[in-house]
Amino acid sequence: MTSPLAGRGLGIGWRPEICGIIAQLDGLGFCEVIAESLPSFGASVTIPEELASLRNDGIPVVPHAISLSLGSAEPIDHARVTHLASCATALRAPLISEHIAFVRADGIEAGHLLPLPRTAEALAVLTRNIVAVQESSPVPLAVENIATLFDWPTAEFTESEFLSELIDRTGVYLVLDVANVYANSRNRGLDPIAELLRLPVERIAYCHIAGGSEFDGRYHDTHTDPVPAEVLDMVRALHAAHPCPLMLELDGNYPPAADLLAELDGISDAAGIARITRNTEWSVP
Amino acid sequence: MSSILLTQSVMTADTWGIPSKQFLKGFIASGVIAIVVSIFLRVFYARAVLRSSNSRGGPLSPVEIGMLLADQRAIIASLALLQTSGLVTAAGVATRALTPQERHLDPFTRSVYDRLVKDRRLDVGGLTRSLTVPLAQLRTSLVERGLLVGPAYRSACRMAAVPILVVMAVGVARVIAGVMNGKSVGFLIAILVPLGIASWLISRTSRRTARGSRAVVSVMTSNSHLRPSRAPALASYGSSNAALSTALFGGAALWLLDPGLAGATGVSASDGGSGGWSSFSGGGDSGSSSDSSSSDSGSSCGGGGGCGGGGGCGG
Repeated sequence: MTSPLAGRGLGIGWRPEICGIIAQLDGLGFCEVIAESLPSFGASVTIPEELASLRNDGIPVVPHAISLSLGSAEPIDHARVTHLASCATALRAPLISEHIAFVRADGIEAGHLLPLPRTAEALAVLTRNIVAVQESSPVPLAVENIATLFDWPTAEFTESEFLSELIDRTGVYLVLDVANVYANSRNRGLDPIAELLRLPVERIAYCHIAGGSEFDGRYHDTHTDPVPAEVLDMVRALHAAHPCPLMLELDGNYPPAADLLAELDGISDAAGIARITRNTEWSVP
Repeated sequence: MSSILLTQSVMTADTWGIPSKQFLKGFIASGVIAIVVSIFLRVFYARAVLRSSNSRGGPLSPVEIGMLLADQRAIIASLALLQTSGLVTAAGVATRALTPQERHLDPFTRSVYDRLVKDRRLDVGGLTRSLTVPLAQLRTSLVERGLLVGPAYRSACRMAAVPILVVMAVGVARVIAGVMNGKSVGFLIAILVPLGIASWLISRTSRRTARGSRAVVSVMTSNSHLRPSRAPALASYGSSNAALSTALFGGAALWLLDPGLAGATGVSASDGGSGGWSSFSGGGDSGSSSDSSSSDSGSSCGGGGGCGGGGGCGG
């Protein structure tokens, strides 16, 4: 099935800290905003003017949720789903997205994206919650694979099998986080590209690409470091097998604008798509 | 008997031989005409002064934008330029030889740097008091460009109020004569008060000319992403933009750029306004789920959030 963002090239995670740089990107394919960062009152969502400007220029904006906790055993919080749906409507978004994870259990907030055991039971819970979100959302949902530092010991599926089964049951799209696949593969001594291509890439709505760094012997998907060359190699391999919209994700420690543009160019070049950084005030002639 | 009649006649005689009602009508009409003439003169004089100024010149630098808002803003903008050039930190001032790029710092920022090297004190209040001459030079250059109000503009505005002052002088004389004549002067005073207010409004001047204010609005509008409420990554935006943020948004932006330096300079983190500029505020766009058309709204998204996994699982 075709991605709602098909043909949208390269995007970026919209963050207020760097919105003035994002505003100058020409040919920006799309952007993604953290839904929980948009304040709302009832059904009315306040959209920062710089983001509204992008939306009004016809650039798709995807609200990306981080707190629905699709993997929680308890029913999904209706207020959070309503907020996400309101964001989608206010942004005129073509789709919404969330993580395949849980962030709370029995009323306790983890404050982090926690992995699900790849079991039939977890799959059933995830399916129930995803269907609940889909029924409340005006646009399709895409779910994202996360980076995990550990696996639950009771896995009944491989990650690929788990995702494929989830897609079959719900028709959900996939936000494929290439950097997360890299982190998981590297920390487990697996081949990242082989692991990547095993996933159901035909259901990709768009891809996340982010940087990370290693400490304490493990690679961490920090979103605050440069994108490693190995991740760009994965982008190259993925795009050769299945071209899809790509997105740079940064969440802090923002580099000088010229370095940020170089990161974007690195992704464009790896995917063989047009650069979007030629006409900013920081572009090198 | 005749002396009593004479006294009554004197007591009831119209001041200056003009009946009160008739005088008041004429006085109100004169006041309205004087206000209209004064407004016309104010516009005429102000335009004449601005026409004589040099409206050309390159784009305004962050320091100049800061100066349009307040003297301290110019100094804060210079400090931001020096900080992003590595010439000043909370720990002190670099005394190394300037690189060729740093030698291209504007003259005012060089003056701030020289003063810092000499005094070894970073507080902005002290810098404002000690940099009288560089501030005056900067002010003069902006006056000459018709952006800041100078003596000629101020004098022209005062001159514009003269028609109102003339009418007021007649009114005050009539009040004095009326009081001496034992007449009621309440209505006349009630008319003199708004005339006085009109005179004050017409003769007063702000820091900037209309052209200067338009320049500030233009820069603020096109740089809303540098507002402290956006928590801009000033190091990413670069030296000039960081300085522009501090020029436009003051101490709050300097605290974002370098809290250590901001603390050492004594600028307030609550100095996030716009230097007496009250019409500009953070904007947003309210999108309703039932109606996707949007309207201006007050606040906007502050924090970015994100889903980076620092210690555990990354999203």
